[in-house]
Amino acid sequence: MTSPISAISGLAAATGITGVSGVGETTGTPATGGVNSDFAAMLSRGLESVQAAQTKSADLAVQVADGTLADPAQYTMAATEAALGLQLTMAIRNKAVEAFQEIMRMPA
Amino acid sequence: MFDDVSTSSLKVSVAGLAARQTAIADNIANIETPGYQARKVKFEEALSSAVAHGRAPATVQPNVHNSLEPTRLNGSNVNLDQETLSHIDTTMRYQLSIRALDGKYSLIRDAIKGA
Amino acid sequence: MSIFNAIGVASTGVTVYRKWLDAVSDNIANIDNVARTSENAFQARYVVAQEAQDGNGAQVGGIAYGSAEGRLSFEPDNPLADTEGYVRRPDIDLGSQMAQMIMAQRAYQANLSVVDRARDSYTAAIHLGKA
Repeated sequence: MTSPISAISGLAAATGITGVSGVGETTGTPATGGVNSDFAAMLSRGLESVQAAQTKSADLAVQVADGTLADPAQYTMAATEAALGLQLTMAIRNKAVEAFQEIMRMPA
Repeated sequence: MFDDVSTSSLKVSVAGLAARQTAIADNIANIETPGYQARKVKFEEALSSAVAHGRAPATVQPNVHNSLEPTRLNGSNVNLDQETLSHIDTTMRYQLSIRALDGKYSLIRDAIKGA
Repeated sequence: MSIFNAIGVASTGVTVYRKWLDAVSDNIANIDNVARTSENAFQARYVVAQEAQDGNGAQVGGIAYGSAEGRLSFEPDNPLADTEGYVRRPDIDLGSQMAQMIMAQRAYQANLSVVDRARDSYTAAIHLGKA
């Protein structure tokens, strides 16, 4: 469990939140600044829920292993949600990086 | 990277279930062998207690012991319908454990690919 | 069997009805046993089914035995006959045993069908969310 989670939080620190709010500052429009901080909060909430899904999936995986799980569908649902959460995080990060690079390429 | 609790528990579970499959195959093969004692494989309790007490799950080994069921007339104590149903249960638990391991590896693969 | 509990429950039923079938076949196999009048007749075995202690499925609560007295049969030629020419035969009705055999067999099959259906459902659960 350690590796996927640390990977996500590492990515979050590196890319999403600070990068996006940086964009807000360069444009200098107060309205967009508000939107950006909401976006940052939303992103961080999203990451927390992805991490929670991964923890739940790992707990249920232990129950699969020791045979105490009551319903196999509980595990497969949690695992699917965790996987989709990670893929969604990746997609959002990629879009954010793409947007940042596009802005950097804009002529001054 | 692959020694976290859930991944190593799943590895122990896959090994234990594979041992159980072998034991069931042995038992069914020896159903008419006079004096044969059915073999049972246990690992779940040991795995649960290792996880609960914070010991490394990888240390858990499947335990094989003889069944104490009453013997039939020929001295074999293999119970065919129990073995058959246990085989179905074991096969599905094996599939589920493999599925869970597969999910773990996919998460890491997704994180590496980053797409 | 706790992950796939429906299979565990059905397997308790399978065990109960196999024991019932065993009892019926035992009764039918011994239906023509002859005993001296000074001895007990073969006693029919009846399986007593009850709900399992842990609430998961059924179990055999015990075995009830038929009459040890059986019925007296006048067979003066039988080497086991007493001075009055009687022997003791088990009091087992073949028709009732056959009916019980059909009930036990149907119930055994019903439990195995539960296993089949449960396996289909669990397989769907295992494959849930697979792309």
